[in-house]
Amino acid sequence: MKKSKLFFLVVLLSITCPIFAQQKLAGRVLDGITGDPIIGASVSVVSEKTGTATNIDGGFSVQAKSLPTTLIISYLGYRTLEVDVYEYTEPLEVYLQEERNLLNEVVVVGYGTQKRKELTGAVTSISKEILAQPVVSLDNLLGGAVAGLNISEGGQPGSTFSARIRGGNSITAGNEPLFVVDGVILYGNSATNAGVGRVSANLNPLSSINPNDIENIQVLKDVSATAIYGSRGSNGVIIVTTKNGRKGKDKIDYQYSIGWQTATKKLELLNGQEWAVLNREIEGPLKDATDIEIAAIGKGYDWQDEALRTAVTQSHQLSISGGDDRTRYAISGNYTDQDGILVNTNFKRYVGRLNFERDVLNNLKAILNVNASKLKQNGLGGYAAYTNNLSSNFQSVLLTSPANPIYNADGSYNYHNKFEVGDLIKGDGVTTNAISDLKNTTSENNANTLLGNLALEYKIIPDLRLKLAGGTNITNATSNYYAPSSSAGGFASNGYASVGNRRTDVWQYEFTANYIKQLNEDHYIDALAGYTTQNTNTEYATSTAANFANEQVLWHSLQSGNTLSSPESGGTESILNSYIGRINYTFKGRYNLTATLRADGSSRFAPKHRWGYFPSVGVSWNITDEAFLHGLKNLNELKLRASLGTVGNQEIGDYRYAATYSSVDPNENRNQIYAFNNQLSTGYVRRNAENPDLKWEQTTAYNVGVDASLFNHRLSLTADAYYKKTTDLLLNIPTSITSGFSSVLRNVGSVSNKGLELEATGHIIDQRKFKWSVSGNIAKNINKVISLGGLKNIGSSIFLDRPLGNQYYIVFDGIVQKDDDLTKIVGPSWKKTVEYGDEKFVNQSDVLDGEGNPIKSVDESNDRVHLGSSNPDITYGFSTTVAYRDFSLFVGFQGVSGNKIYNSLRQSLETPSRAYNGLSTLLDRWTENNPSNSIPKARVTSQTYSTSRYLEDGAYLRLKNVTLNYNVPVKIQGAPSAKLRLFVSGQNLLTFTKFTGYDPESGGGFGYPVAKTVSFGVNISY
Amino acid sequence: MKKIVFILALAVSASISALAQNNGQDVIYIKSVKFATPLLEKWIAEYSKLNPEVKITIADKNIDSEHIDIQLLASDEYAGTKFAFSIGRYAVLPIAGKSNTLLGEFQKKKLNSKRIKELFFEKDILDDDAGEKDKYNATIYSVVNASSTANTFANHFGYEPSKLKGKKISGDDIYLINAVQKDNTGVSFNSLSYIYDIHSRQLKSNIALLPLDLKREYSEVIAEANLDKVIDLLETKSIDLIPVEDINFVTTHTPDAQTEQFLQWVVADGQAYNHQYGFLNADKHQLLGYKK
Repeated sequence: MKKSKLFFLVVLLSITCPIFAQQKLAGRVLDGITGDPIIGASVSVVSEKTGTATNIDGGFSVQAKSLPTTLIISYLGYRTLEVDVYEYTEPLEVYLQEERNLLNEVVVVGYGTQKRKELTGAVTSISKEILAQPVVSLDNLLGGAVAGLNISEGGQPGSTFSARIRGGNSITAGNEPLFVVDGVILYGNSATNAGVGRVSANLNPLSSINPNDIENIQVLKDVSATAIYGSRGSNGVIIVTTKNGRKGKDKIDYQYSIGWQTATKKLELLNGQEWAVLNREIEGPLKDATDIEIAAIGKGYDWQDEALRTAVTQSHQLSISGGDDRTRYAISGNYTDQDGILVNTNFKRYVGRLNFERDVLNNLKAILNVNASKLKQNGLGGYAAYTNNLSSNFQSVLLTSPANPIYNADGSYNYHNKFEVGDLIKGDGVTTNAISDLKNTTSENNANTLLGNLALEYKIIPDLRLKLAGGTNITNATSNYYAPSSSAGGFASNGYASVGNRRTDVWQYEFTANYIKQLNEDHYIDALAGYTTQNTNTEYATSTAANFANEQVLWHSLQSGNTLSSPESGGTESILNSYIGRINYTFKGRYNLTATLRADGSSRFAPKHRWGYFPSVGVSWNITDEAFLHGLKNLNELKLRASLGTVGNQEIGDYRYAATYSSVDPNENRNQIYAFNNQLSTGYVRRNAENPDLKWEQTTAYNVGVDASLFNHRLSLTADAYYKKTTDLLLNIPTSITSGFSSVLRNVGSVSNKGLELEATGHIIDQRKFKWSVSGNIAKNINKVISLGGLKNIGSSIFLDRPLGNQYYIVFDGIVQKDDDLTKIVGPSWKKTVEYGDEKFVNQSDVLDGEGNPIKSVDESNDRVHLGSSNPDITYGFSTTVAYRDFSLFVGFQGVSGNKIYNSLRQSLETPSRAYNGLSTLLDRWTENNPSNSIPKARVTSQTYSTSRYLEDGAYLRLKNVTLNYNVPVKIQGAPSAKLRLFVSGQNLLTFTKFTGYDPESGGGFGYPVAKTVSFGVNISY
Repeated sequence: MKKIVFILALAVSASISALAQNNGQDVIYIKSVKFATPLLEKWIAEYSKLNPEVKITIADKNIDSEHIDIQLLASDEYAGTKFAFSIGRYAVLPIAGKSNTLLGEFQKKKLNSKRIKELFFEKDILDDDAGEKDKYNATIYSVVNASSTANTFANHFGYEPSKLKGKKISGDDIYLINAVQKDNTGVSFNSLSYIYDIHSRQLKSNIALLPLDLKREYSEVIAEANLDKVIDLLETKSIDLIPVEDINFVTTHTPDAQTEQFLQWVVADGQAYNHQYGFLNADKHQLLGYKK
């Protein structure tokens, strides 16, 4: 018995002693500059298999067997720190220093990640300061952020945008970069376009991504980086990675913001009295008005002001994230309600995201990313083509006479515009009302989207990882249009309704193997091989009805319309099968090689040209690791890069190589109907000439670059020079009339882009309580069409040896003045003898008529000249961040120069009309007492030329984003780790430009005006 | 078996009651920075001789902060405290191991403010006196704990302690002495109470002071490596290159009569032991009353 007690005691002691010998080590890991907690930092005890990650407060607790011991603390983006622990009397406070070394940054590249030091391609990361801006859509983050990336946004909330990386490569195919979100390749903008022509707004598929969910954005610019995307890499690639949870305490983050938007600019239009004087002058409806009658009109009615409004935008954002030893997760939800600055326009978004990672086994990881959204956009309604040449109800607003009241005395809409002389008179003096049109026309896009990716990663051996991934991008889009009988859109047809829906299913599967190993001290290899397949299916249907007896049903009951148009439906399917391979090899840590090959088989091309092969090679050299550069005191890193390769462009649409047929409605196209037994029958008509030789557009590109880090990594510089040539451009080339068609799509043309890019970031002051950093980028791109397959031009904007977007117009030469000799001025073809006050045009050359006599007139066939390009030569951006104690300020600018915008809005509004309003610049019109040389004498003519008079400098500098944050230094009772941040933010607050239209970024037409926004917000995190 | 259980239970209950007794409010608990603990112990011992009825204990980490009556801090960061007394000062000098291979180089180019910053701190390109990168190839050792002299040293030269280069140590500053003794390229700094042997009044074995670029008369005193002469020098002269900082008694609440008597004794009589333990006497002006 005694022995057993003794045994028990020994066992007890042997169990308890080691427990008591364990030493708990606790503390916090903090940012060495800001003092903020670092969440998710790894803390491990050397020589022991124990470790943990810091929680939301930066806190950690680990067990050490005995002291002294050493802790290793590391976190991505910071220098790893070792702490020798001799004794433990109080919690440790460990400060990590930010790893500012650009080259040690890890960047996301196609199908993997890579240290920037080992990169051979041109890849730019959007800075975390820019990503932190409170914006509605991710495109708001891209403008001015990357050298060589030019973003043009419209004003319509939720609308699509234009992006060009290093210029445009293609004429017929798409020029937009490829977007990849969490590994899923996004389908183009057409997925949200349900095909209702009168819905003029375009819903941006990328608006389904909540910017608050984004962890990082990488812009892949050169062929070494994009070749892994093969046939979709020619326009560059933008990779978006969303946030996931980190090991540690659950983190809850809520943000609310509310903002007010106004137009960046309001046009100066004629007021009522000014318009009336002009109208009398041109013998309009007021031709007999007396001065007293005109004076009585006063300022009249500001239709533009009635259409524009201060629009409220608000957003709620909630995210929860966390993780433990085996699981990481992040869940977020966002509701955004953005009213447009034009009445009855709006964008709403409901989006939820789940990112989940689970270490199922030590060598098996499951990853799930799901993004589901519901998007709703109310936009401008389009008009039928015949409606007074008006394209939208907003254009109608600007053109309506200011002498015409908007409302009747009883507050109802005034539907009796006595100045209307065009198609908008229904009879009995009843007309449309542009504000009523704007408010009562429904023109909406809806989309439910699902973007998801499920992957399994299995490590066969520590260095070899297999990945099986299945992703989908499903978009169900609907568009609804209803123009009531009172509106211009439904005026002629007594109500007009149209609905459309489009379902786009994209499924992609990837099977990849990745072998990463430091073979020995000198050799490092990262090899990737895989197979991917992507299947895209679309189905669409549209239907239209008009002549509604009951207008209450809107578009919900097309069958109620007495006039039914033939419905239209269709579908397409395309498949892209691909083999990918890439080897990254590094020798001695300083000589890097990337060799990539992708083989794409696309159903969009004819069978014998279905497969395209896209190889690239990139090399880079970390020169500062060479002995001969050791000791250079201010040069920390210097790397040279060079790459060459070929990528493709398959964004040409489906079935373009084949002859396609479509049915002919016997009631609509009587030239192509067939009669059998005296019965008209539906027939099918061949629509195009097939081309079985149709193949990929190919872009061969060269890039050289340098990355440098100086002054203890306080200044980083990146410079790139590139040349790329796109060949086998798809162009419609005239063909023999015996084919039955006037043209056929062929691979014939080529376009080149060459340019320089420079990016710089400086951390000027870097103290714990005061930080100041500055970033800037600038890029110059020269674009040229170098072959058009024997043609000299296509239409009036694409010319051989000229850039895409070439501006080709007659040169405006001022106004004919009283002292001019009228006989020496060559007039336009419709008015060969000019009068005083007329526009003068430059007669470039005299063309001979059939009898050899010179034709003395200016005409568009012979007298247009090349006057620049709509694409900017130079794009640039710069930003600065200042942080002082609890305040931080971010200011970001975006700019372009060297582009010309044709201001068709000004052309329309500077052309006097008997019914419609014009710009106040018409006040400076030529008269005998006012010899203006810019605005001609007021005359009404139906004939006009597009001339350099309306071609304007499109350069601008814009204060794109500015945000002031204040971290409120309060402790919340019961939640000591909670943080409260207040912010005020502005977008597009200032624009410096000579352009006279609404906005140089959105172009020169009657498009939706761009808004500036001021918003306030609060962020609470726990 | 029952006996064993009984013995274990007894041991546990005894330890609990002992802990409960220690937590009683009739004891004055003082929490102290480690390097000043020997001086504090001396004060307590001497005061206890005069006032044996008063029990003063140096609090260990098991004592809840709410029971702490007085804290002895090595910095002026006493925000939120009720009262603060300066009851002495300490000086910090840069050190290396005696066999440090860099000592010759330091001897040729003595450390001035610029060189100290270059040697110990991460550079800032806007600093006028920041220069070439890591030309010394030295390994800097510093302690990460909040009570370390690292705060005093860094703040004196205009830096946050997080800007100190090199290897980090958790624990008492005394371990810095061990670190530089073992590492031929190791460089650190420490308070006089740890650099000098308070019994022999000479530098500890295998420790060398890094030569500072001082006036000759000051350098000669420092070079003598005699603790009393160094204290005398630093009490009479203000030398830019040598950080000198208060040690402070701070309380979070109004001290009771017993505590106040002890504080007054330290201010009035306890100063006599400062030099013995390597500390400078408090500045007379600050001895006169409460800081806050």
